[in-house]
Amino acid sequence: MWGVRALFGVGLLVTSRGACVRACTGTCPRVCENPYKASAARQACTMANTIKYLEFPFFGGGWLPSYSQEEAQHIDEELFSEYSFSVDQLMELAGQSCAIAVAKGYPLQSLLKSTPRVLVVCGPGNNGGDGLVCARHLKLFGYDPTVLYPKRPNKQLFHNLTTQCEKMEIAFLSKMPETAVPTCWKTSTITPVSKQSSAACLNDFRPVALTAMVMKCFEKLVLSHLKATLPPSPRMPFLLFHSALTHLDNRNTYVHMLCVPLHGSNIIIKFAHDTTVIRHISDDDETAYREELQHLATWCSSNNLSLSTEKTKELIVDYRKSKGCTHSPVHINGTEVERVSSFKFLGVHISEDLPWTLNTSGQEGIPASLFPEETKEGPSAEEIDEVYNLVVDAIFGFSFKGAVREPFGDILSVLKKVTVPIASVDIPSGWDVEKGSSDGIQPDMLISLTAPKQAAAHFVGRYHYLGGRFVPPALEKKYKLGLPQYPGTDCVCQLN
Amino acid sequence: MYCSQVHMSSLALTLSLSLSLSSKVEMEVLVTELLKDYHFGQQQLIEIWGHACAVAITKAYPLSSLSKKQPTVLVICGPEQNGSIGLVCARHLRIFEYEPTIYYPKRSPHSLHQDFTIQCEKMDIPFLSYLPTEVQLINDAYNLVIDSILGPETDLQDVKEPYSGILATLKQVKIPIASVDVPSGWDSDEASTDGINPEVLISLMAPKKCATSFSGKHFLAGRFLPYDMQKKYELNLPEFPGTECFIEL
Repeated sequence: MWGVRALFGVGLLVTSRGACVRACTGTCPRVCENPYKASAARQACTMANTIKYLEFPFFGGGWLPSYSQEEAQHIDEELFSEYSFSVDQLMELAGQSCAIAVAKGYPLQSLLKSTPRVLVVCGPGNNGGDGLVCARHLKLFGYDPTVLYPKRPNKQLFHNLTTQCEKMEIAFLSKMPETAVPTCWKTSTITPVSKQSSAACLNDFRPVALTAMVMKCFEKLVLSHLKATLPPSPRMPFLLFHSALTHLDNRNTYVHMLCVPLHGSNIIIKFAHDTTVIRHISDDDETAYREELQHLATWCSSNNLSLSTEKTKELIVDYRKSKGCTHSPVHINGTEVERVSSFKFLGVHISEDLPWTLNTSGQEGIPASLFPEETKEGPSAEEIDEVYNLVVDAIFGFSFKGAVREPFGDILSVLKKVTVPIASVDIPSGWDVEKGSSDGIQPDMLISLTAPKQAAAHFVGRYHYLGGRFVPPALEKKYKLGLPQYPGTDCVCQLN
Repeated sequence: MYCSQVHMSSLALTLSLSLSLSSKVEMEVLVTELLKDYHFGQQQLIEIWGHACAVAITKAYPLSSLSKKQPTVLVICGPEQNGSIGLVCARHLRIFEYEPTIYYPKRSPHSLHQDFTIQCEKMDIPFLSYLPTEVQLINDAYNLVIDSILGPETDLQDVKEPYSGILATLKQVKIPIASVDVPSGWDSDEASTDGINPEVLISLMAPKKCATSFSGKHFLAGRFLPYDMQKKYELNLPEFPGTECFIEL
């Protein structure tokens, strides 16, 4: 049996926040007899005299030693150097314990919201890595984690963990422009649904959308959000102009703009989709452009989309003083495309000389910034409360020291206001590793890894788990970790 | 409705198909993809597999069910990945309070695998320097043998000493044998003819084709495969209960 219990002589009983802690220095610990390897006990005695640590009560009786930041760092170093563990090995075990503890404390059936969404906030160091592994395991257990990972360290280990999560289709939040739409939203399986019980011809099938429903809804939501943040004058055509104009800055260039409406015919599938092909031409070389149109025509026909050439308009923007050649008309499917000097696109008038007068009233030119202002880092407290069932805090671990750097200061202040439970990995982020913090975040669950740190004495949440079941017995004896018995083969042990 | 009919029949089809069995080649391709595209690390995977194996063993042979006074277990490790998985399994068994002893005749030269050896040594797990050929000694000293000698990647033509000798000894032991991934000496794609006869088989990730001729307790261990991969390779894995990392098939 392992249970190494260290009992000490006289200590000072200090009450703080209802939790009793005993601060004491070691004299001579009483060690249980271990039939497998008893000789190491004497070695542990000398170590005990140099270590100063706190004990705090835990469920199941007894006192559990907890460690200072320095001791925790020594234990970690030894695991990697003497015991030859690798960071990814231990991180995998630690992250897995965190996920299991979360699953025990907040089982899927107990979650209040209709989807089992969980927010995992990952910091810039190893604690963040633990969070990434935890998110991956939570996904396997049936939860729906989203990771907020604003500062990613440039180390292969973290790149790998991030890739593993992304490939599990776990959404990552950082800044708006970096957010990626999951690939599964962009793919769709097309299943034709027949209108009658027996379908005789293609027209007996209902119209089919090529974009997945989710993506369509998403696009609508994004559009409404964008519209809300954009100033009155529409900016979408700006992107079109911006690309055209930057190209035109080069010598001997002009731009073709082809506005192609694609309509379904009555025979096949009905839908409407307008496509614009913009081609930047340099040095009068139009071959690529014409080839592309050919490809477009072929693609359309092979995908049962009928290109409406009659309604296609072409506009050429050519600022050159001496036109190299007269622009011959393009053909699509044998029919000539009408050239116009202006058309309407997305509600905006576009004409050959790209003026903006028709669309602006007295405003000059094109605004300098073409993109909406960057949104703030991460969601707000209300958003979190509305969307997620709980938050896993994997921001800072036991090596945290000093001031909190942005963007984590903001994130922590948001976390202080959320009402959904927070589960902290190893140390509640922002807390002093030894003294705790009275005005820091107050998590509902704490998952101490390897051994509890002194700050755990100040933890007042409902669940305190011990995770990271990989400590070699010799290490446990050396530092007199006094770890409790883990039940069966569980990787977590509840302490309160 | 047309659509729902199609759905129902395909669902029925999936249920009737039992777990699909993977060939050696498929497994190799899968693992390569895990390492290259999904960026899993080798040590990470071996840790996951070893840990899951150990948990499955405790389910198959709980501490209370062991007949000898001490919960001793003999773990025989081969030279390649299968052996390293055995090392990690032994380490976790130690944490779960078993008393593993390792026999690791030919150590792998890879530094990754050497780390696993050191971790075991530091966990105070004894390493045997030779395997007694007296089968009775093994029967008396240990409660069970964990066979992590040869895995699905082994080329069976290539099996040399000391493994052929070990396999011969194993065929004669009376205590139960639990094999990791594939029973050593069996061809992973075909049924076995005269190989060792384990009581328990712990398949990693997905069962191999040779599992059809296995008649003992069969576990599937290792819960980490992304759903994309499961669909892509049509693994049809069963649902793991709760937060468990293994399931009895």
